[in-house]
Amino acid sequence: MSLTIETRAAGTTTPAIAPALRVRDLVTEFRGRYGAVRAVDGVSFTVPRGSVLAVIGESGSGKSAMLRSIIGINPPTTLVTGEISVGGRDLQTMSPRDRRTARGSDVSMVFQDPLTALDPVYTVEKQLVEAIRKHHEGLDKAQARQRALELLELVRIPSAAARLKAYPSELSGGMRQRVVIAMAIAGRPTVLLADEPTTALDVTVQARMMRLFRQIQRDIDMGLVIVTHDLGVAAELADEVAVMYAGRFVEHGTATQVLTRPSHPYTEGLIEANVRAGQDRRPNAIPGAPPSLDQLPPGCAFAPRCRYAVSACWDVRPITQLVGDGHSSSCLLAS
Amino acid sequence: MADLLELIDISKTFDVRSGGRRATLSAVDHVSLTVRPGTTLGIVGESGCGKSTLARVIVGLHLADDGELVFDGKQMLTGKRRTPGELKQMQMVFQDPSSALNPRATISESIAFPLQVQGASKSVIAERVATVMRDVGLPAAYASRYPHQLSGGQRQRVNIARALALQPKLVVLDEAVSALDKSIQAQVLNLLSDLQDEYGLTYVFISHDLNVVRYLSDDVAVMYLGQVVEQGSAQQLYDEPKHPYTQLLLSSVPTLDPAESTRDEPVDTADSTEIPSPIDPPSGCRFRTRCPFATDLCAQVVPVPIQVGEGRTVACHLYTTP
Ligand SMILES: Nc1ncnc2c1ncn2[C@@H]1O[C@H](COP(=O)(O)OP(=O)(O)OP(=O)(O)O)[C@@H](O)[C@H]1O
Ligand SMILES: Nc1ncnc2c1ncn2[C@@H]1O[C@H](COP(=O)(O)OP(=O)(O)OP(=O)(O)O)[C@@H](O)[C@H]1O
Ligand SMILES: [Mg+2]
Ligand SMILES: [Mg+2]
Repeated sequence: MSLTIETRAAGTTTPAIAPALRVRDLVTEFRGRYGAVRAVDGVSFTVPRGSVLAVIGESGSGKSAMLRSIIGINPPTTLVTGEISVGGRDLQTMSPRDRRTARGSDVSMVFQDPLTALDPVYTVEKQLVEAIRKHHEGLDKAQARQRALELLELVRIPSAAARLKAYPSELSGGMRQRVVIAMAIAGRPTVLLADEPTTALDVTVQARMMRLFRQIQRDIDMGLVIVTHDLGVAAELADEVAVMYAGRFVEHGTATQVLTRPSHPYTEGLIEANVRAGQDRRPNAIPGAPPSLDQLPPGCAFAPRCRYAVSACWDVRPITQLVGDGHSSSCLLAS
Repeated sequence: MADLLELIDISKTFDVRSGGRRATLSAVDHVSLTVRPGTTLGIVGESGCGKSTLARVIVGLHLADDGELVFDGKQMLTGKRRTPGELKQMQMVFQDPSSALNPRATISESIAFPLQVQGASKSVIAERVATVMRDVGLPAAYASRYPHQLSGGQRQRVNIARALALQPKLVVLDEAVSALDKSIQAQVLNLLSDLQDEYGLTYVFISHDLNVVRYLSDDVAVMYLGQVVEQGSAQQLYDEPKHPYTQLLLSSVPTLDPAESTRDEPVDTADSTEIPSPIDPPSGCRFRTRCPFATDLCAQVVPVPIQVGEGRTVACHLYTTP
């Protein structure tokens, strides 16, 4: 914890220690037959080295689109604008070739769906070795194999040596997810983008993975952006939490601020929807559904579902305001 | 009332290669369970303990090596392929939201597919597809979209809709709500309860979210390395876990309070202790290598499940030795 505070303070005073990731006004638009869908609509944030940002928000709010834009994997018709700097280097102003190299070595991503991230026709070993050699060109095959084995042991896959020879379909869901995590950390990236990396993990393995993330982060001063539906994971792992709705961050602050003193009614709804230990009553879903991104209302995108909405909320798009030290909220009624 | 589903002594192994040699992986080992009609059986346990394998054996996607299954009074051999009529009554929702969908089929085509296979008429199909899409909270406009145009959670709702389309008696939900956000998850959980009340559906519900399992399930079975180590009513099992593994599991649930975070506890990355594996499971009790109470007996003798109360069993020597 103290380490995080140190690096954050250092990052703000000496520009030499650039943050792991800095994103300014990121916009992602999917253009297609149905017109343009603005999945990410002006998102800005900074992840200091050694720090964790958790992004929460309903399905379809643009979390994966945001991560995919940062790492640069989107369908060809996608328009991405804004600043994306990794370790102080702005990816958007680089030549496409440099950008590819930077993204390959400095940013890595754990994709949401562990099965699709692995190629079903190759063994785990082949895929791991390939990932390792991409980042460590000096390693020969045998060394890379040894490293692959170590990585599987690090993520606690039982009978790791035997599992190297397995095909993805022969592994359980949680094992596949851990293989994907192992591949992503193989290159010791500056920033790791992890999209729902723990959904397939049981609580004991999940706890270990979270501590492992912390440890790797400390070792290599990595920044981590984790997208999760599990507020328990956010509470456990994150320094900061951002809440995404209809392509925007509607609330952002420290984990404690956002999870224990939420300011935005949407955050409040997300927290209330959780099934608590021993709960008997039906969980409260937020009424309605997130708006279709191609037909956003003129005012606050959450107003139609908000129990506190007043008429102004329907007309005026709320600006982001500070509601506490480093705690911001985009609610007209927040103060 | 008679059980809707009874599993008797089911075992399933896989042939794998281990260090160049052929080896046998014991994924599900002598599992016996019952599910009463109109109720939910929750299954919990560590990653790789055999939950999905058991689920696939139940719905007939895997042939078991051994064991019997009685469904709705009819005996089915778990080692033999099922007839289409038998398959229809049990549906499964899978863990991986996108791999289960055909990327070249629209959402409505995907949901309609099982209905077509069963020979339903065009108008019945159209109506059923519209109903289940509404039930799971998918806007009608998504009917003509393709899986890649949906978010992960939206895709999983398509899978649930597809399983419900055939109005099966039993639905096996394998991590079916894990990929959903909490608000949609709450909606789907409420939907599952409502459908259960309305149609008397029976569920086998597999999830890593122990709070959700408790909320939804009438009974819960805890698995460890292919075996059921404890089962009982959800309330009793959670309030008073008996097996040391159940106790460990329940104590690992993260809270929503950042102040209780244990994230900075060190992980021993050099820890080389053997992680128990189904390829070469520990002798005696499979949990003994991690059990704080393990004795010599645990290494020698496999604990058999014993009754420790109404509908409650536990397989642990702590309860067999007086
Ligand atoms: N290639 C695409 N073409 C058109 N629309 C897309 C495309 N990819 C995503 N979308 C849309 O963009 C929105 C954001 O999708 P995204 O996958 O980022 O959601 P998410 O927040 O990650 O949701 P989940 O929690 O379910 O994974 C969704 O409405 C989705 O349907
Ligand atoms: N087709 C297969 N071939 C070989 N081994 C397999 C196969 N399918 C599963 N296994 C093995 O069987 C064991 C049980 O796997 P299963 O998928 O049932 O676990 P699970 O309890 O569902 O785990 P998770 O919670 O991670 O999904 C694992 O060790 C897995 O590697
Ligand atoms: Mg996503
Ligand atoms: Mg599974």
